Amino acid sequence: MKSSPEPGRRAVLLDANVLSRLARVHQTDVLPEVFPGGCYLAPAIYHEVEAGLEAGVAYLEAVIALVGRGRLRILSIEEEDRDYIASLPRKLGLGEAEGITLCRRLDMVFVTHDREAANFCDRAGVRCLHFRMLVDALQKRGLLTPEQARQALE
Amino acid sequence: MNATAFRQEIHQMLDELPAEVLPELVDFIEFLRFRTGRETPGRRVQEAIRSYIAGEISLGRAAELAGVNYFLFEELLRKQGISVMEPEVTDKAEQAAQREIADEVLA
Repeated sequence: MKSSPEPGRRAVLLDANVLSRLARVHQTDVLPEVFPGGCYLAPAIYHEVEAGLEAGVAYLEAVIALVGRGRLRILSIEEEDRDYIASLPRKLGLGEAEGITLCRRLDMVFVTHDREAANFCDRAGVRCLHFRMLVDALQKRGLLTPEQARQALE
Repeated sequence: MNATAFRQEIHQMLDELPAEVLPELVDFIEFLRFRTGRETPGRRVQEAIRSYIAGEISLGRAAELAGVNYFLFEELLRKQGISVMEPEVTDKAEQAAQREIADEVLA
C-alpha cells in the first residue's frame, strides 16, 4: 500500500460509492483530471476495493489500475486518527469513518453519495462535496454523457 | 466421488469444527445461497437493508452489519430496486456551500 505526501486544501478523499458509480460507467480516469489537488483514499476503502475485486466485482479493476498508476493515492491512519475514529457514531462504516477523520485532520474535502456520511461531515465541520455536484460538473465539462450521468446516479 | 459419499465427507468435516465457528459458517452459507440466487437475502442482510432505508445507518455500516463486501451490498440494493439514500440539499445556503466547495476543488 502506498502512502503519500501531505495533500493540500484542494485535495479530495473519495468515498467507496464514488468509485463504484464512476467505475460502472467506465469513467474513473476522469477523477485525477478534474481534481487538480489530488485524489486520495482511506485505507479501509482501498481494502474493500481489493476484497470486492476478489469477490468478483470486475469494474473495480479500474480503481486498482488508477492506484497502480499513482493517480489515486492511499493515505495512512495515524495514532491520533484512531482515537477520533473510535469516537465516531456507530452509524458510520469504517471506510466512511476513516475518510472523514482524514479529511478533518488534513483539511481535505470528502466526496460522497451517502446521506449519513454527508450529514456527519456537516456536524463535524468537515467539507463535503456531494456526488451529484461532481456528476453535474463532469457533465458540464463533457466528461460524462447524459446517459452516463443518469447511470452513475441511479 | 458420488453425491452420498461427498455429503458424508462434508458432515464429517462439520462434526470436527469447533462449536464457536458454526454461527459464522451459517452466515457464510446463507450469503453463498443468496449470491448464487438460491435464496433471498438472509435475516442479517434484511435487517441491514431495513436500517439503511430507515436512515439509521450509512451504506458502509449497512454492508458491515450484513457481513457483505461494500460493493456487493451496493449491487444487492440495486438488484432489489432500493434507492440510494443520497445527501440532501434542503435550502439555498446549502446549495451555495456546495457550489463553493465544487469551485474550490474542481479544475
